[in-house]
Amino acid sequence: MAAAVATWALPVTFGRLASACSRSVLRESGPGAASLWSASQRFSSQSASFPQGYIPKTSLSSPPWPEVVLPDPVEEARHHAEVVEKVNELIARGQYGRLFAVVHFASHQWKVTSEDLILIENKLDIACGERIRLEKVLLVGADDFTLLGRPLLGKDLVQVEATVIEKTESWPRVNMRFQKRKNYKRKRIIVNPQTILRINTIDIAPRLC
Amino acid sequence: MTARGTASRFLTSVLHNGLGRYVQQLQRLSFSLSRDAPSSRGAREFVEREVADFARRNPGVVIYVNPRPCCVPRVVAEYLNGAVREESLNCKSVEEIATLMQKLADQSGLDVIRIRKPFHTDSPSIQGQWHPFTNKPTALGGLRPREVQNPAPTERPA
Repeated sequence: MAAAVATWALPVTFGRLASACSRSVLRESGPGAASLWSASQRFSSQSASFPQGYIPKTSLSSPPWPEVVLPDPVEEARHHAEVVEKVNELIARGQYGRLFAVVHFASHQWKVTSEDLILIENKLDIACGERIRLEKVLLVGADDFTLLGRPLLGKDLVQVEATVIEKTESWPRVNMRFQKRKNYKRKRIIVNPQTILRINTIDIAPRLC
Repeated sequence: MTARGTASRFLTSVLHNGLGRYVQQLQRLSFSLSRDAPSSRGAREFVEREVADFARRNPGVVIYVNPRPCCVPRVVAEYLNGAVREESLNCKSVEEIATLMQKLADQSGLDVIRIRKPFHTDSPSIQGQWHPFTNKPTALGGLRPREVQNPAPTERPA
């Protein structure tokens, strides 16, 4: 009996002082006092207050990461529909300020707003002053909402326009190879063509689907 | 030299070119070539054949041609921001001179030095710049470090 009580870890919330069993390894602390013997007699294998499969809380009884409770799918769908409706309303009324977009162009992704400049390290066969539409848009955001593409957003949804303002060359990069005491020295000047784009506008359509 | 040893600048444009309308930045081209020297043969041919079409294609550029005895034919390009670039046309063919002229016409007068960043924006943050307290729950009375609040339900991204 005493051995059984000693191995059974009584929970803190339940705790009652053990007056009789001072030899027990586990000490229970808490308000009130009752004998362990009466507790052990009361709590046999069919315990009334503990639910089935109850594990008392110790440092290893649950994983160290916080337990994630997923929401109810019906409620989640309703919440999603609400959010989409709100965003649709904002877009339809035009209640957004400055928009930014993440655009994939010339094998790079650029976070772009209107009126900003980007430098492309190659030659585009476009004359200076011509207006371009950047089609691969991955993300569009305003102050209150963000639209993420999977991976791209539709062309009927976003439109990003840019102008080529300059086609120039990079500064001369020196590519020199030298090996000491071997009479080996090579020098090459590399000049890359560059294009500078000015992003003019980012527009979103008034209706999401 | 090295990038550290030479001048550098940030990516800019001259007077927000391209925002409202695009303005060609090349203002003036002044050719100086010789009538007889063999080194300015390409320049002479360019002036005979190509320069009129070039002038018609770029109506905002004023082109001056000065034939005078000189050993090395040159072209001086002046830009709207006051920058002056001089290029030599010595012993160049007509095609090379034509590509060079097109390059000068497409450039703006900003220096050809190292550009520090390949982008420039005047409004870098729209949703607010991130700082370590964005998207963290606040606590009444202030949380101390490593103090966990009552676990809030996880937010689903829209």
